[in-house]
Amino acid sequence: MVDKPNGRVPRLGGGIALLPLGPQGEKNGVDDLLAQGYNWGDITSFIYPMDDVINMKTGEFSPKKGLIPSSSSSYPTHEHDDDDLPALTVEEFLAESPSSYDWVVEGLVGKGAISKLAGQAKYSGKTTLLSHMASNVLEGTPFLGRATTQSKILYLTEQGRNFKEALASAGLDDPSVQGFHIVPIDRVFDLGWEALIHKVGRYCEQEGIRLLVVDTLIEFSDNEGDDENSAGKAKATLKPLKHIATTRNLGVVITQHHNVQGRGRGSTQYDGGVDILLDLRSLDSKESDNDNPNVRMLEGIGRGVGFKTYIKLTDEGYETLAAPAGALKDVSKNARIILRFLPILEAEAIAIAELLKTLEERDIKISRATVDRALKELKSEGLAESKGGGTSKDPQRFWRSEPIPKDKDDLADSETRSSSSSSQAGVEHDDDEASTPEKVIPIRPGIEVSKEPSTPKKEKKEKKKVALPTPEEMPERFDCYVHTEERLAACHTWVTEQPYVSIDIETKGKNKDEATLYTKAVIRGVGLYAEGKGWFLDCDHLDDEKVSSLLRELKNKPKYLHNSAFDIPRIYRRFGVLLNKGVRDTLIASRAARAGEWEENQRVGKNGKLITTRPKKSFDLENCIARELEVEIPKIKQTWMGPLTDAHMEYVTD
Amino acid sequence: MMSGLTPTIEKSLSERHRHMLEVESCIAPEVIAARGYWTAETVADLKGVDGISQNQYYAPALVLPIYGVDGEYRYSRVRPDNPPPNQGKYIQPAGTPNVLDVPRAVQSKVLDSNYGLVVVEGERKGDALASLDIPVVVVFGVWNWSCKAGKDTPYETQLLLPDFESIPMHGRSVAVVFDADIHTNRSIQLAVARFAHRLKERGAQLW
Repeated sequence: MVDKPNGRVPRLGGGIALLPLGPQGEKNGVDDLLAQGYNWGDITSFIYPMDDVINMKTGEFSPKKGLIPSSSSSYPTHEHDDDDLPALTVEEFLAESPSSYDWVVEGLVGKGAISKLAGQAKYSGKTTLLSHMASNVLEGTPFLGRATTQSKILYLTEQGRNFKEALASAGLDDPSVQGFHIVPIDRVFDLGWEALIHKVGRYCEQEGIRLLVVDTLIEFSDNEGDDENSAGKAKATLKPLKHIATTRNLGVVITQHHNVQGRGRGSTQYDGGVDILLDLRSLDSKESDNDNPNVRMLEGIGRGVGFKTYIKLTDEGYETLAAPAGALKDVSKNARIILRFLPILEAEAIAIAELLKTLEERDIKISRATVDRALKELKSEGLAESKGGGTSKDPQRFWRSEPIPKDKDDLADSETRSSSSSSQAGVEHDDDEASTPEKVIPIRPGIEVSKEPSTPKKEKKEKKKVALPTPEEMPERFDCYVHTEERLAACHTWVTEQPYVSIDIETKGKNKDEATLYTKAVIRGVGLYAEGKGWFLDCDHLDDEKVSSLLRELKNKPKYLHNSAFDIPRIYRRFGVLLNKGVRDTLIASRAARAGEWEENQRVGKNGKLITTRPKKSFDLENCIARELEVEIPKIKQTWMGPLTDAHMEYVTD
Repeated sequence: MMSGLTPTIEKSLSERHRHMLEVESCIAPEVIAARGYWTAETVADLKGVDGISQNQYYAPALVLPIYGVDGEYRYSRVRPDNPPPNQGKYIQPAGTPNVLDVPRAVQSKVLDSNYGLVVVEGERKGDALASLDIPVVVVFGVWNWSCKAGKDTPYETQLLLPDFESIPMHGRSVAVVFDADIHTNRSIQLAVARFAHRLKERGAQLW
């Protein structure tokens, strides 16, 4: 027998092989590949799951984009023995084009996608940033306030000592760290780029790795001379990476140095050929932050991604600085300097005297009067908040805050400014803009409702015709609506009497396509149901403390939720009540009950052949109820930003 | 069908054919021996051999004995060094049905559902994998997994060969590893898609 590594039978998974064509388009068979030096492990990397190769809806051969063997020079030059153009219906296109990524790091690295991180060589701190990101991904903890999926990591590094320092900075210099695999460049010097990535793909599959970092791309690729400026060479360099990203469902990060213009070096194909562009840079003089070596601007652009954020390296790791880029444009240079020294948490708010002392220690010369003016300016821009009576015993103290949106666009888009797509309706728990005049007077302290929200002119005329019910009128139409303390008290009493309660929340603030749903969306309403009776708490008109008190009654009761992983953290975030005991999740129950089931539709195609499709099973509330209870609920998705309408209440009472 | 018959003559394998098998196809000598490849230098060598019929009388040629799922000899296929025009590279006895070929070196594993299974097109490819101890079955062409071969056969009537019924499939990982021209040939793509669906209907796991 030939070549049985370690005497073991090579692993065999099922699927369909897409073996690579030869350089001249030769139709290699498995024996040809063995003769060319491939081993069985190499060949298994060309075997893909059936549903990656065949469109399970139409039953036709239709490899997913990216399933292109790297040595295949002529793919996909179909010999069209018929005149078919592989066009898709809208339904098929939408089914093959997810609206967002399955994130490794929310908004930064998506599975099956390539993110390119560019920054100035030696100064920007790309490796340090990635080391900290790796540390969070290994533990599944948030990075820069963004959710991560706990994953193993393969890190290809060109650096020696510098990398060691970066690992130490991120706390990864501990021999007991598991799941972090490192390939120094000197170990793979003899491998060509395609061969290296081929091995990387296989290794990631074997080890269950979901995040790959190539730091830097140019050093590991086989680019030489002016190759970096060649669009063709760039495309060829990215091709095998795309292949393993999609076929192995890997999140891939490549790094690239800045050129003298402060952009990613080399061909623009490196920008066009990746999915997410990340740019890391020190702050220039216009941004007044040159004197703080640990503050950077991180910018991201891509599908569903668009942000500019200031980040700072601290002893605890990286943290985001609250000021979004757009808001800073409107404040003075001194105000921007002051902002950097304000704490993020209210509990750490500092007085002006402390601020002056800090500035003095940093040798920053700004007078007391200028500091006063700067703080006033920051407050007026919503970038800082203060508390305290302004007396010597209770001095006024300051901390950072998110800026108050000037209009609805800001509210819905306070983080994503540069390229994010417009928000889309039709997503449960999502929110969008409210475009109708606000008439209500809030009773919850601290909530200011714009009386004339900015509304696109075209829509204003039509919207004004709609007479919206006031909160006072709402209970007359819907007896479940709760917006006053009296009604909340009645609901509270009802809750205490129930043996169990079903809970559903409605959120506002962000949508999934902006990749910030899971960090930004806040609760607008809480629905409570039991024994045929329901309540809807309009939290924009209720005191959080009183709602918290009511929710605490539910702590030890059995609770029914649909997708509790979404609702429970948000309830906790807004009301500080963790309802994690006695949870019955109908989404999980339905998934468990229906595990392994396929739904098949059959139809006769244009050519008279039987076409079998297997649509993906949906587990949203509407479909679960239809499937399990055979009850249809007319769920027309609502947005929850502005005043509530009859449609909102019909939605929740369904 | 000539089930149960075995080649009755002792024949040798030429050096050129041994090179083709060992070097070009990476087949281990013991796997070559297990199949019993031999070289027909003249047509006379082919005459009178069980499982070889008149339509295969071309020489010089490589002769490939075919073994079924049960390990029994079925017939031989002939690969002329200079293939006649309008015939494939491999010539099958006239009137014989499609069968599955199972390399004898891995026959027991092919029948054991604890192992995964590979399906390839062509005996040499099958023997190359058998040399790695990989359970493999061979179809003689991308459509030859069915009695009713060809893209114009309606899918509804294009069923798996009866030989597949002897191979446990339910819950078994099965990989279809055809040649690289799957990228460019629509007929092969259709064949693979249909074959995969049929295997899946038998409970095979193609993922």
